[in-house]
Amino acid sequence: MRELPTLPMPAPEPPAEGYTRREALVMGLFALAAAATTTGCAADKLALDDFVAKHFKDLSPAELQDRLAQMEKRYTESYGKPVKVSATPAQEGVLFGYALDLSRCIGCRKCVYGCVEENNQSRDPQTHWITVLEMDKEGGVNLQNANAFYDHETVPAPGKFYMPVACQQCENPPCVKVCPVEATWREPDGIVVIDYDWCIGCRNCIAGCPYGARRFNWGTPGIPKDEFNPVTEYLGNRPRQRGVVEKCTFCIQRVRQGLYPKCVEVCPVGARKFGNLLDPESEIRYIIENKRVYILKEELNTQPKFFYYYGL
Amino acid sequence: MTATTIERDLLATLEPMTTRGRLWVGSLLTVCALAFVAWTAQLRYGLRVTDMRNYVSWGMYMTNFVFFIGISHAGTLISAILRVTDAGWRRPITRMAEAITVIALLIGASMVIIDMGRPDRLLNLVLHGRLQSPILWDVVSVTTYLSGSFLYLYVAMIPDMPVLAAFARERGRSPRLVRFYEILSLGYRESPAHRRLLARALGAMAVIIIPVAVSVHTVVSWVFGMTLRPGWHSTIFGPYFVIGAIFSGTAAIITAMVLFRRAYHLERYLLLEHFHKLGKILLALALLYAYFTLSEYLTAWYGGVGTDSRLLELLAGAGPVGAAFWLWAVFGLFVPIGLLLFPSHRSLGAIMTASVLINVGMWVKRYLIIVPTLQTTFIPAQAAGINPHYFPSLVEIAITLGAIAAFLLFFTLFSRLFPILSIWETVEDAGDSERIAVPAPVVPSARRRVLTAPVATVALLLAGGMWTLAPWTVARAQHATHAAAPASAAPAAPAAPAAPAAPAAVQLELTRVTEDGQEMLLARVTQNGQPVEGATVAFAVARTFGTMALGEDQTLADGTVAVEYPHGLPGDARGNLTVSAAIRSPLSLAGAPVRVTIAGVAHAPVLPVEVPRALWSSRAPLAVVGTIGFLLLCVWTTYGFVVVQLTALFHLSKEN
Repeated sequence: MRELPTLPMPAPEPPAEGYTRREALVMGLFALAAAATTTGCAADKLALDDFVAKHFKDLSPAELQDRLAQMEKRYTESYGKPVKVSATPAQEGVLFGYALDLSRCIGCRKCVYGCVEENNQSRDPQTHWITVLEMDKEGGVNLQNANAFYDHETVPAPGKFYMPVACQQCENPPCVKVCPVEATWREPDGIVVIDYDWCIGCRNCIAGCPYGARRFNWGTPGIPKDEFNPVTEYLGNRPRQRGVVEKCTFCIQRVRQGLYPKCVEVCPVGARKFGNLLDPESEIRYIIENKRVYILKEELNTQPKFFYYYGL
Repeated sequence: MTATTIERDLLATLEPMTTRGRLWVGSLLTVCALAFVAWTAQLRYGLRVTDMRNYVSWGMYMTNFVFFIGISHAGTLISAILRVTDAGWRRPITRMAEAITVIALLIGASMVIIDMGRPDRLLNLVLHGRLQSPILWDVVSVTTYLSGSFLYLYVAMIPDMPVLAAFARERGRSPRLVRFYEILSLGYRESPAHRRLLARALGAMAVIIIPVAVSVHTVVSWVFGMTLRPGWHSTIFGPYFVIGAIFSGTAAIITAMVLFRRAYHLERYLLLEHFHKLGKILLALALLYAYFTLSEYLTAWYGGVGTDSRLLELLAGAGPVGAAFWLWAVFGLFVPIGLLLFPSHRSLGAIMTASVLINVGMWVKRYLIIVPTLQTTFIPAQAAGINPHYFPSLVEIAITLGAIAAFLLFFTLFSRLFPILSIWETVEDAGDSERIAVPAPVVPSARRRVLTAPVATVALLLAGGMWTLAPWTVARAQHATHAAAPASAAPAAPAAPAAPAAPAAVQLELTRVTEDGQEMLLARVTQNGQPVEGATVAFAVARTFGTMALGEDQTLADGTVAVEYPHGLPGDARGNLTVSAAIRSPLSLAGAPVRVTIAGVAHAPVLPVEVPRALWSSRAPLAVVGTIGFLLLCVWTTYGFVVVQLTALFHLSKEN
């Protein structure tokens, strides 16, 4: 091939001996592409499997079983203990609802850390699904003056009350609306879930969520092996990858087995209540029907399945 | 000026590069290489290397995206509007404008990919796109715009191609280059028939590209506007962004014109008159932008909604954000308006200064649209009264500089391959009857390939466009994994014997029996094999969380106690109902409840998984699908028409 002396395409470095400028350029581009691919894949040996993975809803039952087995194998290897990954379907006639007693909450953040442990949230960098807000009793529920970073010796601080906020599991979720790839959707039992293998990390849902409930994995999540919770759910607390969004799922791995969410279990003052909204006999229905209930940003018509109430 | 002079002057940009030119390209390449290194680091360590976090989750990359898409507008929109209105003075401007569009779009679109957490999953947008998402509107719209502006740029270049081929041959350039120009020329020659076909193609493109350009910046704004955030959720956001785009784009064209005028000595072609006219357009757009800005912030301020007020406090306040805002207002808007307003000041230097200020200012303004809104969180991010921090990291700055360098680099390289001023239009403008001596068309031997290339490209793009529509129009199968388990067909048989209750000697059995045609739950309490009389047994049925009491009663002499079986009470998804019985008194006998699962109970009907067409569901409302489909069909049909003209042009060349 003849060299093109007049083409205005100067190479950044003199071409290697024996190659024309164009060949060198093409080779350089290939090298760059290869470098990009390897850096992207190096972090995860099974990147190719993930790359060709199907959307959760498109998996046939057999494919789902394969995928779950594959995940169990991978996580068992990474965390050095047998890991269970299930994909429990939603049960008919169940619509999960959550109620939180604002008059009982003392702001101890036990729920925050219980959640971190149960749901395998990253310890480094730190990810919390629950944010506890501190507000002045005098001011009432005024989010503009709330403090998420209070740091007292003991709680509750005098004159303050507390409001934990996590995903409100909206019936009309603004985050799901804007997702370009259906990586997040609302399940029939009302839980808004995320397929971590499908999320492209555009973060439009974070911009869309009016409750600031979604978290992005800016770096690779770090969980100590001995603190890893091996009972996991595909759409719930299984380990997340870097570059995807996560959030509260009402502990989908627990509630679909009939267990209460971890935050309900660890709350030392019984401020957290959980149940089936379709069950007229349930405690949650009693609370909604008989207590003073407060819905966060009710005016946005997101129709949360999370209710704040005043129990005392 | 004769056509020959024009040709010579304008082809001069294609002469071998000077040392200065090489230095320029070399330094641009260095910046691009640095940006590439930064990007590699980002791929390796994740977006953690940026300063974006959960509160300010979009930053400099999105700013660049909006900025470059804005610049791209200039181009095509200005060129198309001037062409449609047949403004004669457009001629030296159009080529540059059209090239800006294509290059800026490529850079802008790549900024979004750099911003993504998982760029490796880009294809998911095609495999599983949701038409309800503004991001998908962007994907569809930007793809359409990019294809359209490529076509537009190319169609307007066809008459120059034979000239370029002749020039390359004359200068003894590589035969490949000559052939490249020949293929692109489609055998075009100066003849009424060729001219007519070209005019038709160009006319159609110029008309259709205007609405496409408007749509692109509108949907870019809607990525923000469709959320509920203060400062974004605004009804004027679409037009506000469109005006901003044309505004910054026009400034970009003027800047490019000044730079090329100086670098390639085009003073005879890019006259002061051109700058004056563009300066007036720029002034009008600046005033319009000021008006829109006022409308936007005044309504928010007057309304005084909590979050809006906080955003305005941030923007107009004393902090760094406030400083940036006021610096923008003064140097990005008022100073340029002042410079452009008074005819006495309207020198080339003043216009250039105004354009550069506007370019920088509009980048800052986009930053001020994106970041402060995210700092005005709905749910407080930090200690009361403090806004979340964001300042671009070195990686973000490096990549941004790289994007700007890449833009300049592509533009420079484009100008080395094609004349930066349209030769044929400039000749036309000179009113010279002497047509450019076009050499006999060298119709390439591989004619078929040449003909099919554009057709195939457009067909592929069309198919791509249609493909993006497909997944939502076809109803998806139900969640395979969510189908309820089949109801158990087991008959309502007597339940299993009960486990021993404490103390070991006490036994509680629970069965389901039919007495006098009525189904009952029967419990039998025995102690050491002897029935216990007068023990209170409580019956309950398990619900999702906790249990529901059915009743309690005392045992009879035979140790049995019964309550009515709860008819009509639904079981779980598998048709199982778990009933339990526990001894309440005497306390000495009390123990853990005995549970029995009864199969084949009525259960809540397995409703088909509802997939309504809603904004939050997986399938888009028909109105959304219909509107987007119709608009795409109109645009792509027009593109098809243009390609048909080009095909006809090629056949015409072949016949003669």
